Amino acid sequence: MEDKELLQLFNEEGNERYAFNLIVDKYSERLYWHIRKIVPSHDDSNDVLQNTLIKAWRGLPSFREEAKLYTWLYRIATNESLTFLKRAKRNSFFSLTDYDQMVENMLEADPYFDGDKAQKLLQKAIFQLPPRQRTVFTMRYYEELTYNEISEILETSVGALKASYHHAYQKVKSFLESSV
Amino acid sequence: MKEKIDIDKIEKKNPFSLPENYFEQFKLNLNEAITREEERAAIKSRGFWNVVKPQLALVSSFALLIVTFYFIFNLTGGAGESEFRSETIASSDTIELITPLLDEDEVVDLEEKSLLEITPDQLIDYLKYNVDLVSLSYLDF
Repeated sequence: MEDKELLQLFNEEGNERYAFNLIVDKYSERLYWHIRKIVPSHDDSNDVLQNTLIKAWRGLPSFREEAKLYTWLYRIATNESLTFLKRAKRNSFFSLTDYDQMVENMLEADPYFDGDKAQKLLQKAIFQLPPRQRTVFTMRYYEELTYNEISEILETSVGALKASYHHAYQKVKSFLESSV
Repeated sequence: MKEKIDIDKIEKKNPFSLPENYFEQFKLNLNEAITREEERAAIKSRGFWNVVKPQLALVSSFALLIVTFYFIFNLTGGAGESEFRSETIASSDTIELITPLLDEDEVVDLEEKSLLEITPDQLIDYLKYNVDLVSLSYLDF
């Protein structure tokens, strides 16, 4: 079903929950993988995805279709992911644990990691990037979104995104080269 | 010598997997969370009204009382004030009060007419026609 039809259905009284579940069916997987590339563990990604969709449920009655539905959902998911990382980093500062080391340990012990050695190293390199740069990198590298799409979601200029991706790519490349 | 890892040669695939039936379970959990949140919101909004309602009634009652007293005071206030002033004048030592405004003959005349029998209203009328406003303003009540 098209987004427009889903939104129409959502706006019909009594059909809100049914339409929302159709939206969840359509987008939850894409949103999960988007979040999973930014947030270092499955459990945290699960929490962020739930918060994202609860916010979407609250916000849908006032959604005015100025943006596409998926752009709007991606924006919520990205903001939720970045807020989560900020909070996690702050908490680790107060508990005197090294957040980057903690993330590396999480990757090593992740039961849901299926990649080979090179892919594990790539993940470690990606998680060394600052969160916003990491977001841009994964959206372009893994999700293969166009700069225009990323620009709409992150509300950043295409030029700034290209520069951000270029810097991220160079950092990842030199991390991989120096890791062997 | 170990080979360097080149980012361009790494297979670009998603290296993560998911627990079995993850999205089905996620949808159930999400719906439960939304239901819980809606119930909480409903209780919160009902609770808020329950707290506010009696306080609002109390404030309204006070406001009504204040408005009522204000109107009663304003409607009866003028008359009350004039009575109070007349009585004050009548109960004070009248001769002593108005003596500085009169000449000797007028004082004698006043004493002869037995001032004590004069009512406050008569006294006011007398002052109104025989004493100018500037002199009245010097009276020490």
